[in-house]
Amino acid sequence: MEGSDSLSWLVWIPLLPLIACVFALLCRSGVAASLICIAGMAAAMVPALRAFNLSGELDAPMTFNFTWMTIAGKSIDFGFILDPLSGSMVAMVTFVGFLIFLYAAKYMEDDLRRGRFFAYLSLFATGMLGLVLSNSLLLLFMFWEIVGVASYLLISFWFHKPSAAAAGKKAFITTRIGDLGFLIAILWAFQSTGALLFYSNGEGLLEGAALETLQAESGFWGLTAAGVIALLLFVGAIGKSGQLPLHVWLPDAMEGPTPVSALIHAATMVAAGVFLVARTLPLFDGSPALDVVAWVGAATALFAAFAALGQYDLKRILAFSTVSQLGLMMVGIAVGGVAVGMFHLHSHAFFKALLFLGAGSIIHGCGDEQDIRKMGGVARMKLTTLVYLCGAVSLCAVPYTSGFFSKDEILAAAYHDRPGIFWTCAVVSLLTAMYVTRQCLYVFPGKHRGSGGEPHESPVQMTAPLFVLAAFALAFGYFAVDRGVFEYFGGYHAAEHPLIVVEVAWAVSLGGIALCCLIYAGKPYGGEIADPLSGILGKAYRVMENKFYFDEIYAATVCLLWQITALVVAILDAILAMFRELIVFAAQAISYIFHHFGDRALIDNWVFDGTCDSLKESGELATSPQGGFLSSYLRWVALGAVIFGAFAIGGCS
Amino acid sequence: MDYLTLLEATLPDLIVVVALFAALGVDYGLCQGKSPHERGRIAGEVSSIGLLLALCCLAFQWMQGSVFEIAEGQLNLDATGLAAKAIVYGLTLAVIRFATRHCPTTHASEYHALILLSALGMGFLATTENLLLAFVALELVSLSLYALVAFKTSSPQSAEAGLKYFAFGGVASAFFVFGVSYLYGATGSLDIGTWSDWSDRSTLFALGLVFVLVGLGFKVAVVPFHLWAPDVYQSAPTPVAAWVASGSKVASVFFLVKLIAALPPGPETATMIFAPLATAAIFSMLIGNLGALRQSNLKRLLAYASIANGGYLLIGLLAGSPDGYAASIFYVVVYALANVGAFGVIGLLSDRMKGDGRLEDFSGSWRRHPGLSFAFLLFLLSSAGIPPLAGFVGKYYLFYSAFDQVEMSYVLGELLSGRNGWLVFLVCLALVMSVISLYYYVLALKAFLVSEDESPHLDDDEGISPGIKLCVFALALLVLILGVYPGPFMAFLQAAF
Repeated sequence: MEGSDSLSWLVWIPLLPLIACVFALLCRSGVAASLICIAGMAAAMVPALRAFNLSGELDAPMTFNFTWMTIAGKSIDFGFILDPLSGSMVAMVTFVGFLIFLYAAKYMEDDLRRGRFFAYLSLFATGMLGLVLSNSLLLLFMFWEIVGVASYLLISFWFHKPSAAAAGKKAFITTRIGDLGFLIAILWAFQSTGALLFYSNGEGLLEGAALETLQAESGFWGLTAAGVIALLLFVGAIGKSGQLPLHVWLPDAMEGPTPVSALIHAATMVAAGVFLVARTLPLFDGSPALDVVAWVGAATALFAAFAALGQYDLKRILAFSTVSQLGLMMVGIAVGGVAVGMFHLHSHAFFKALLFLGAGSIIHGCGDEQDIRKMGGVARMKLTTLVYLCGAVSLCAVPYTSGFFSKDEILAAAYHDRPGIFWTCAVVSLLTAMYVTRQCLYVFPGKHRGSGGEPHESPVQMTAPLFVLAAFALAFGYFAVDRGVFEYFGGYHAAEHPLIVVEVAWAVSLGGIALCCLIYAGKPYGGEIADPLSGILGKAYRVMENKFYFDEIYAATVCLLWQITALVVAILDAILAMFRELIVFAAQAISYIFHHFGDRALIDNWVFDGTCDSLKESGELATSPQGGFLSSYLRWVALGAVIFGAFAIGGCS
Repeated sequence: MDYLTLLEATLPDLIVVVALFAALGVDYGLCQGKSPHERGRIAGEVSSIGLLLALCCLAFQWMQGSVFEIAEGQLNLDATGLAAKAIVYGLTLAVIRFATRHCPTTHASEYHALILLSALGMGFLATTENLLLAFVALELVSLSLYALVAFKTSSPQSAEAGLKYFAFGGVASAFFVFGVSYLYGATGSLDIGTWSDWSDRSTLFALGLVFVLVGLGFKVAVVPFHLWAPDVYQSAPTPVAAWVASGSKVASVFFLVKLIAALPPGPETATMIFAPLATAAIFSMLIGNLGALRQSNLKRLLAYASIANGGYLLIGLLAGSPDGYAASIFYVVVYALANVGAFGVIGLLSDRMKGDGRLEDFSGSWRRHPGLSFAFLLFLLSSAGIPPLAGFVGKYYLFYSAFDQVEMSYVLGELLSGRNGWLVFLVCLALVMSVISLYYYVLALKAFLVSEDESPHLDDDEGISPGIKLCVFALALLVLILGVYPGPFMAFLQAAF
């Protein structure tokens, strides 16, 4: 463990977007603001890439810690950390973020509040970069909240739409439930060990004595304290990463402008939960908490894949797809360790950013239409179609794309320890291939079904970033495996790939595509016509369309409970108000007495005015009117000196 | 001691002296026939440049790690001493910036020269450990300030305030120098650094100490030596009021803390000064806060608030621990920053328009000067002790240092008897008084931020220069930074004792 001051330059990575944010807020012109923010992000990429380069050569995490404040002899330290986990994340976040910024500059061109939008984006980037670099649970939490606030601002950016305002609120409140778990975890960890730093020369939370303390201390339900803290942290991750049952905010977050969706769903916010689990993995080790992570992840992946199959909104399908993929990442971390989960996180970041930005381009081209039933014939937008398909095949995990390599690793890791999870993931992969194919079939071929004009290609400023992302979506996986991504992250013993895993991986992705083509081929769909799948699945399809009725269940249970609580509180409030009125009345009566007899008579008339009068009188008597006050002032000095002296001599002898 | 070392040690002060004469010389040599406003501006620029150079010089000495110990503690320039001097000169710079805007008379250069002269005195007062030099420095400060307070020659109130200040200060100085003679008689030394190895504490020593405390109590404006403060703050030119409230107080507290910290340890010493200081603290908090409640003039209100703040910072001295001393200094620095800023804003918004600082004069300021009003909000909320501003952290450190000295006991009688009881009582009183203080601070803010404009005669047609605004914002930023990240500065102060 090296503690090194030479790492202080890491601070610049989150600081540069923050500076850009401040300047963008001060800027009156939207163009200037967007240029400043893009420049800020590009500038942040320089130290980020340096960090990435450096992180590959490290044997152990490097840290840079400093004391924030000292209270009651206990110092609260903050710090930044450089290890493969943070190094790769900052590189990815700045790189994808930069492309998204470029794209957004064109996409938001006509928006009057463009400067504000870019300031929010930069703030978001600050939060995310700080989050991944934090070497302290508390600092991480602070950045975590910055990310939360920024995402709230961004999702409800078009707040004149009631649905957008509601979606922002929903995202904020839902993730806050998870944050409560996170906060309790922080307090527990601090109370048990007094450490909040992750790594600090053997005294950090994730190393040496502190970790042993936590693993020895017992929590409840037969878990160790480490296990309980891990679970509480996972609750935070559930909220942020949209896992069951707190996923409901994520599809609604589609109300934000498209670059926001890409930023939130691909590179940053939702990955924060996965990152948190990866960062604190030593706490999970050897406890049943890891099983919880694996099963919650698998269940989320399965549920979301089904739900994605029933959606008609272009971006909502991608949103559920994201939920599903995040579930897979959780599974990856739980069964295969940091390397497997993070590998999938990175490859997912590239192809999902591509898909979201591509979707934005399609929506743009179709005149702000998001319903896939009213699309069709988008193949006319040749460039967009080309790159979108690149992203789609990667998401389908067609062999030799990025998605294939990373998903294959998850499957292989799961196959060894947890066959149940392995088969769940296989089904998820099958469904993934199906919903992606279904979406593409609706959108690209055939005649345009929308009411507006024919789709038109988006300008080059929007398509250029897409091509860069497409290259990564296709080739990143191969190069990463080739260059030894697993050795880079470390802590991974390469699972051998039995033939069956490879066969299943090939079969589900290609099979899913083929199955979907088979169902939809030759049948009419789109417009008002019912989906061909609903004919096969019947009632079950209605459930999928309605996202398994999660929102309705919450409305019926949580919200009802909330209303009842509100009613009870209102009644209590009324009772308290009665008491309050009584107290106020009593206080008024007392104050009346004091006012009239105490204040007026005693203090005003006797003490204050009396003193003043006596001062005046003594002044008039003793000296000229000008110096009248002065002499009494000086008398006070003398009196003070006498009293002090008496005290001092009394204390002395 | 050779003269070269002396020159090296006092180089920043020499630069200030040169700037002082340069300001006078430029004014009388080159600026004849220019308008008073223009001459004031030039004198202010010259003084500012001198102060900046002095600050650079201090920074250089600090980076070199210079430690000067000259003539048995006459000047003690270690890291803390240099920092004290830098704080004083920094505050001077802010005051000079504010003073540049509007000179009350045609004697523009004397105005700035006197401020620099008092700054010199404060610099020496904050860094000396010699009682005689302290007296000389104190007189230098006082004499310059008497003249400055009475500088608004067109106003009879200003002259009256100056006269009161002078008479009061004269008596206090007499006490001080009389106390010094007793202390010299009792200990045979003027160097307070030698007290620690002197064990026989006599009545003479106690009396001398009390008299010295009277002299310093006048400077810090604690009850019952506070009576000059409201008149002076209200009637002096506003930058001068800012200067009296900040620089003079900071320097005096630095010396006061040094004096108390140098006392020979032992229970007798503790009891000897405990009762007088505790009495002063209690009455300062009471009279300061309750007095401020009744004020309708903003400057007078801040004067009473400054008396109350004097009471708070005595708590750190009463705690008697290094943490307590550091907390007192931290508090007075933070208080000075906020006060210079607040008086600066008041001066900018009211002085030139012949306003006398009544609360109504400021109604609707947020509309005309949103930035300045926001800075004013920060200054006042910091003084009221609202987190995350520096005033809150300062109060927290003060009260914590006092509680730290309370020997915890679960028997209520033991907990609340003797010194323990006093400390608990003081902290509780301070907490209650902080709540009360919020009332008048918010009252002042209400005038700024809520009330609609009712006094168009105060509308400022001439814009405020960006340099002065920058100065206000820099102060506000400092108040914020010291609140959010107080660690390093506090650790630095704690290391000094």
